[in-house]
Amino acid sequence: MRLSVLDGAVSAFDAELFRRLLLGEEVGRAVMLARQAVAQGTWWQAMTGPNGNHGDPWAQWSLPVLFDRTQDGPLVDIDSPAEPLPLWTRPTVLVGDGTLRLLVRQTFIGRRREMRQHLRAFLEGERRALLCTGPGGVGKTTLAGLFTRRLSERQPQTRLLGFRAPFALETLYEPLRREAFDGHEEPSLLPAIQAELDLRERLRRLLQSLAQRQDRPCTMRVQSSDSDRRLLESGASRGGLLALSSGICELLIEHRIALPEVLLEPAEVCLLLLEIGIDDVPVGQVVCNGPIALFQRQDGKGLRQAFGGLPRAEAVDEGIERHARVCDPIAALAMLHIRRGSHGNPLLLQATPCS
Amino acid sequence: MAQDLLLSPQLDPPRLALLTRLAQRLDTQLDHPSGMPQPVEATLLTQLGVRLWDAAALDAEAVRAALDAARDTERPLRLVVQGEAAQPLPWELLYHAHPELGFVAQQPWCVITRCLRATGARPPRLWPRPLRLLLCIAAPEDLDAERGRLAFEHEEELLFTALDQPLTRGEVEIDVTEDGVLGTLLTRL
Repeated sequence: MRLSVLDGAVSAFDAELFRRLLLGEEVGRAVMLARQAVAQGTWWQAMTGPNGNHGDPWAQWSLPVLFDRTQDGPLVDIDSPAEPLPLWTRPTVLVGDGTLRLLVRQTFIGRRREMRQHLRAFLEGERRALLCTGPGGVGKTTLAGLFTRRLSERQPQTRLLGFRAPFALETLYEPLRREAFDGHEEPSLLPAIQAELDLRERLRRLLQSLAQRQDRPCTMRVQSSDSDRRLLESGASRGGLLALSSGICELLIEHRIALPEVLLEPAEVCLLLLEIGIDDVPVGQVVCNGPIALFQRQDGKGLRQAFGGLPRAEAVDEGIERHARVCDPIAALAMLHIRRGSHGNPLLLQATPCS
Repeated sequence: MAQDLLLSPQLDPPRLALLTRLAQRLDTQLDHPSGMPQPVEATLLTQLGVRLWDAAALDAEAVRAALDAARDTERPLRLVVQGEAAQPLPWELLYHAHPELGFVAQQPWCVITRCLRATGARPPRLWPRPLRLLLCIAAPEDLDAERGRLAFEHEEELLFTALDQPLTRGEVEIDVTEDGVLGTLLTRL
């Protein structure tokens, strides 16, 4: 039996199944209640309208199948205190320019093709550098954060350095120097490097110094412009800046993927206020974490900054326009629920209409 | 603990052939590769359900009594399907025309389950929250490349979207395997 299952039925089943398991229901009963939710639920009513007493017209309720290898029973002990989610003991921001975050794994969805094609080769050392290219806002930094997180989990001894392009070469020097020289190096090496006049040569020697250490360094860059790519390619071909990169893997990311909300540590939470106006009259505000910003919808630059790039800002703007026309500011605000901004990882906390 | 009622269906060749034919008709109606799902004939569902009921040789009165007891004690009645030949059939459609039965899989205290091996004597181990899920998505190798392609990203996104709220509250943790290979699954479990 191999069937196409409707997405709405899958979502309704998943949501109810895991909700019931979290309430401490036995697996069999959780499956049965989730099956009922599919049979009676709102997912198919949204597609067809109320259908009398006939229920799910596509018989999707009959598709979930339970296989048991144990006696039935609950999976979640609701009487014992919840275990805190494991804290990430290593830094959440990479050494470097501080803009590359190590993403929490469960907040990441999609990009499986990219992960299958590129991440494994990267983790297994076949590729020493990964070049992400694509328009602003498609998720290059996010994907790099996830790759970095996986790499640090798989190879915790690896030193990770993160720099986000475009950047000035001067900004690379100090983080690399700190990593390369921690008191265990040849005493004459640092003065020799510092005496070098050419910045590119100084960086190359720093990277060489890092490469000679037991704990293999690994640089990861997020690229967005042709000039940066040319710099990377020329550096690699001349054995220059990216002398460590024996094989560069270019990863083109084209489409944005909606991301779920991201939980951040409370200390990092501040506010981003986005006022959405119809004919310049504010109709609502969105409260996110991240730096505080307050601007009108007509403020294109503000939108681009808040939502991390032009494609995302345009998508938000289109959504606002569409919902604003039907006078539904809450819907316009709700659509922002999955957007992320460029300043850290904005989290939508609430969406309320202005009075 | 649930009350188990073992289903050991009598599947002689003619009956198995009939049930298989009906199940294939149902599969054809459920399959909607064009993305335009069509309603399933209610008569086909009940016809198949009745035939399954007959094959299982269930006593309607006994099942009603067991369901009443399950409701009273709040301990589900488990219909456990046994036998390898029976596994491919859609037992979730078991149907009896009695107004208090109907499709028994939709009864509030009835669970239909299958055991490929002998059921273990112990219940599953209890763990405190969060509920930890391992998501492994794999497509059969013999899927039709034209019409059967499985969209991994989309499947992953469906689950994360459905569990958005418990994920945000930290009640659920989802780990996603990097591939759908059995070795990876066994390593990560």
